[in-house]
Amino acid sequence: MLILKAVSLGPLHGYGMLLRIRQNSGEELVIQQGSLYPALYRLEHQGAITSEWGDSEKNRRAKYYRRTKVGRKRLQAETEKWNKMAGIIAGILRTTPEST
Amino acid sequence: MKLREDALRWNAEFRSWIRAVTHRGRLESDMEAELENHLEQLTSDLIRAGHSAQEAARRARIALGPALMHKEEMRASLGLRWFDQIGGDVRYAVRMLRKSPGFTVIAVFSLALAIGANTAIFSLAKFLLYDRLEIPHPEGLKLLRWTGDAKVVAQSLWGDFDNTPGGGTTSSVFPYPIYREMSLHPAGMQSLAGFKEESMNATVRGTARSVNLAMVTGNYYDTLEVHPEVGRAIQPSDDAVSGLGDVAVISNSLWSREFGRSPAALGQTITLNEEKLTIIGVNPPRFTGAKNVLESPDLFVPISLEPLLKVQRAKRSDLANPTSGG
Repeated sequence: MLILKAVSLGPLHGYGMLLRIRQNSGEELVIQQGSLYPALYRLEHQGAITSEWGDSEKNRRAKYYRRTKVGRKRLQAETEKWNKMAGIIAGILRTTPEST
Repeated sequence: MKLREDALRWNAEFRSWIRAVTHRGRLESDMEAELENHLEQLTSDLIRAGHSAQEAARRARIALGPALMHKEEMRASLGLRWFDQIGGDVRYAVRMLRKSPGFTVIAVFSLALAIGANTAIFSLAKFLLYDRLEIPHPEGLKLLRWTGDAKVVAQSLWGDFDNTPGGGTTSSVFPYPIYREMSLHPAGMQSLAGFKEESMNATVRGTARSVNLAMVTGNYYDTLEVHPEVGRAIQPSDDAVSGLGDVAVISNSLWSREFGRSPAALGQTITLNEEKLTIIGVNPPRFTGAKNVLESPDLFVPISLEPLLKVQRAKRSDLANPTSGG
């Protein structure tokens, strides 16, 4: 979900994604470096993102990922689910114990 | 909606898997390059943050973790895990088999023997039970067989017969008068034809040799619904009078062998046991007669010729001709 959001604004390579996610969370969320790539590969395998090789800012070859239509729909669905779940849990936490 | 999404995902996954398998080399080098790149960028960022080159490199490497493990997980994401595992198992099996050649040889030999035996038995069963004659509507054709107990009258049979448990006899060979009687009262059968296969001496194009022939009733070709490739078939008129009907239809392979598939074969003479017969037709290619599916008799002649052909037999046969009263 976070990855899909990160690439929604434009193509990124792996390292760039880590940076952006960290940025967007206000430096609160730091993802484990190595677990990023298996997740990226899984998303690409499922068709949510596509990749192509390009040149990075430092003129090095890097693999850029961008979101597909399928990925956009997936992000939408997952976001809805997340919000719904958050609402339900918040509702549960809000209920006060019944006074007998 | 959900189904369509799932279908799209399977499609994407399948195509990704195929790509991964077929371009494995490129995939591996791409993974390596991507991780390398990430390490470089992390290192340079750490350097910018103030660490020494060596320190930055060390920290970056620790942060990224073991590349080998990540690559394995990346491969798993692509669905390559089971594929690689099967490959590994196969290679292991080959290695182990190579280490004990004696065992491998015996195992392979046993398998070959079993497979060969099975194939042979199946081929035989197919031939005996399933293969049909090359005629239109073979399932409509039935071979009749009679069964008698120990008191059966038929004494000398010329042809195949078997004993039944209980001292009886069973055979597909019918006396000719019985055939005639039955064909007058078909009892539900559309048509009743008879045939008798035998081997004799014949002279074909000047060369004497032994041939297989089939003596057939006039309605044989009509009953089997077989049409000759060239010329005409044997007709009821050929079979009408005993001793007459000196015509012959030759098999397709005889036509190829002796006459070069030339239409000039029609009208030529074949001498069969000193009787001169005229070739009137050629059978279609895969027709093998009514007795088996393996081999075709070379000649088909009307059964009315039987008295003339002086067939060798030890005892008097029951194939008596009704008009002569025998």
